[in-house]
Amino acid sequence: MERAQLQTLLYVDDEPDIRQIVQMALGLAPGLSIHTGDSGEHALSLARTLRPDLVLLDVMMPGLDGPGTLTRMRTDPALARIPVVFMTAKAMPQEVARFRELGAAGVIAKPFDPMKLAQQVFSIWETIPVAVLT
Amino acid sequence: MTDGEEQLREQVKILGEKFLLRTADQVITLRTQSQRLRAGDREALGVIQELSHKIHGSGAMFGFADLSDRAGEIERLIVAGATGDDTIDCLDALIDQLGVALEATRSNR
Repeated sequence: MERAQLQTLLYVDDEPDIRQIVQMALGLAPGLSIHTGDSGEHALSLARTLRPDLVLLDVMMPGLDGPGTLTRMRTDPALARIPVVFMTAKAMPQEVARFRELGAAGVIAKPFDPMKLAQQVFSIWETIPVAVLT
Repeated sequence: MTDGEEQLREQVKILGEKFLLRTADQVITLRTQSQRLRAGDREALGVIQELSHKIHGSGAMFGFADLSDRAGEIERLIVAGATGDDTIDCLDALIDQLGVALEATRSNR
């Protein structure tokens, strides 16, 4: 079975500066359509509309945080299979293990190098089992 | 370097300048919130944590390590949960240090 291409990505972070950097950084990857949201609730509504291939979630957001958003996605049949990657300043092994247990496909540490972000995202994408993406 | 990469670097630099301007206002807000906390208003805790978290994360993102570290210390102090006078004295000292780090960062640019 062939791996689907990563074409549509949703990035969610309450910090507008970081959203802008991520959008530009991932915009360097040809053929990738990037959408952004500013909260966990916004992520859920955008994900239902866009059905992205991958969701990048900031962990610490006011209101519904990243892990809370992932939990809600997993209980929604329309969103349950969309892979989620966390972005966090708390990328210590214990935290990463906790995010993995929640079902995250990967974790990207903040601060990240904008020049290498697209490469990091595509590397994680390659690790997601094809069966999950179909 | 491609045009896109060049634009990205330029954009990060511009956003970094805006971040420093915004942080100056946020240091003032942190001082106000510390006064609220000293007066017994625990809602100030949430504001201080949110602001310090943003400065910590975005500061690191823009390469302002000292600024980010100072904000991280404030965030950790608040997350630890104590709200006694000693803690608020410590908070005020950390906010002062954040202000000094901000001025140093701005004058070095």
